[in-house]
Amino acid sequence: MSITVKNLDYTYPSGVAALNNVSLKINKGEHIAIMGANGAGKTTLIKHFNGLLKPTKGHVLVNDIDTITSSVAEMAKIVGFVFQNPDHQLFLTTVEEEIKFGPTNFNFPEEQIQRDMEKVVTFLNLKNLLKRSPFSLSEGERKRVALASVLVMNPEILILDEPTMGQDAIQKRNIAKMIEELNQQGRTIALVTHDIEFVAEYQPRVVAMTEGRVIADGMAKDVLTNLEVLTKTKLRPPQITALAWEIANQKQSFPKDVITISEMKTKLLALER
Amino acid sequence: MMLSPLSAFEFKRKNTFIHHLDPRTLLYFVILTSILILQFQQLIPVVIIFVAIIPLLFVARIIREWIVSLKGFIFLILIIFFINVFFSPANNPHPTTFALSMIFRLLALVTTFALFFQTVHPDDLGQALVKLRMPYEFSWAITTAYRYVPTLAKEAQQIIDAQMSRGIEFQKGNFLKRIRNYIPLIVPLFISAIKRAWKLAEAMDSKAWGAAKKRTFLYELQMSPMDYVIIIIITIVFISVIYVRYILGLPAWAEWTLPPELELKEIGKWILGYIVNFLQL
Repeated sequence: MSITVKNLDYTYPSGVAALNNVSLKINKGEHIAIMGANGAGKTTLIKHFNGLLKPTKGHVLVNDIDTITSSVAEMAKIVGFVFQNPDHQLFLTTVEEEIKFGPTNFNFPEEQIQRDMEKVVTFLNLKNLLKRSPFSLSEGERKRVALASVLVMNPEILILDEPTMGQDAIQKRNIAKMIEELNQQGRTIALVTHDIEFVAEYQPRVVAMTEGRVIADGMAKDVLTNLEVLTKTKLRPPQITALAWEIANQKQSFPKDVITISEMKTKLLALER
Repeated sequence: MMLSPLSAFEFKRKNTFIHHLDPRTLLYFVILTSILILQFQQLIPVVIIFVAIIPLLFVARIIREWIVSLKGFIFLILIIFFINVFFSPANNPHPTTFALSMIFRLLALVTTFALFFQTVHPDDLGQALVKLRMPYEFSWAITTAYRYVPTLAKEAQQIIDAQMSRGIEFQKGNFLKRIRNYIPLIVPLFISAIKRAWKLAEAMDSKAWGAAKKRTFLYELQMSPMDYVIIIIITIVFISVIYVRYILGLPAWAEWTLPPELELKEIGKWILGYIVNFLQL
């Protein structure tokens, strides 16, 4: 299950050119974070992954299916898309109905729906909330329900728009754990985020965008410590990296590409000797 | 799926002659033009009014936005056409002509209002209404409603995207099914609008909204000599048209209708089928 973006241009009907010759390949089972300043085209790009937007020029292939030729509904079975705001998705009276809505709409067999729902509900710890109204839940819970309503369709590719926005540290950790698990199950994960510490900690492949273009694509360790890329994407380096740079200012031999705490610890302890 | 009809009524700052007119002048234009449009049921006069408004779109440089927004009215236009052609009373000998004139009437009204809303800043509209002696509470309610149209349209688009990603197909099924398809849009939209209203009320309270009875404005609207010239021109055009319509009487060519062989319902059916096919509805 891979996504191939070939020379993609996209111009909104209002005339705003949001993407400019973007090429990208996301392989099966990969975990990738798309980063960039506001208005860099991140959300526009991921909306092409399930055909919500169709290329103005170029092609987006999902498992060799060209998104131009298929409807969003068909793509929804392969590509799950979780939006930033769960309130944009929830509209039914109980959490259970909400989770079952997608597969029921696709006429999946009843027993399969039941089985998939139980799996998802256990995974996201929603068992006690099944009979509640989605609107009576807390923000974090609603976010999980929205995710469940997408995961229940067993998409092989999962797209997440700002999954950590407005979440406290514990929730962030839970989200990260969940993403890791889904990734280990073999799902391809693409997420858009501004949260550089989150990316530094979990180290997916990082794609950096500016003004509708991809300007860097590689390991988190390389992209997040590249000053030029960080400046262009209006991101600050991870705090650990900033510290490494400060130390390197005084001690030339200190490596500048440190992004995790454990790595920093090793390097600092090595200094002592 | 895009929500284009609403973009017709969204203000965009531009530096044109029309944008610099006083909102009261434009309000006067909208009211008189709308009255004029509603005086005619004949095809030719309605088309003439419609065509006469279009140059103003060029002057205000909003022609592009207008064309984009018109696409959103196609469904409504089809309904008007269909109902008027197939369900017109038996004593109407020219249902197709009548249907066309109703469509142009809608287009003329939409265009007039679009011109107004795209060129008048919401705050200026509010102040204009206050200057016209409307209590501030009411003018505030109107401008706020108007100011939130683009916000809600944007939100509706986000909800549509989110729901389509779950596999919902808004434009699938027969007429009734389609209406039911919109529940996943309407429910979240209402809930978020209500939440937004609460937040707005709190923000207003924390800024002591309504504490002072007499309100002043940072920028005072001022009628320029040009505004008066325009108002006089609008008035003259209005009176002349009304004079022709009710006192002189319309000339024969204005009553032109499609020839009878084109009036057949079959032709209407053919056109409708063609349009539906063309749009791949």
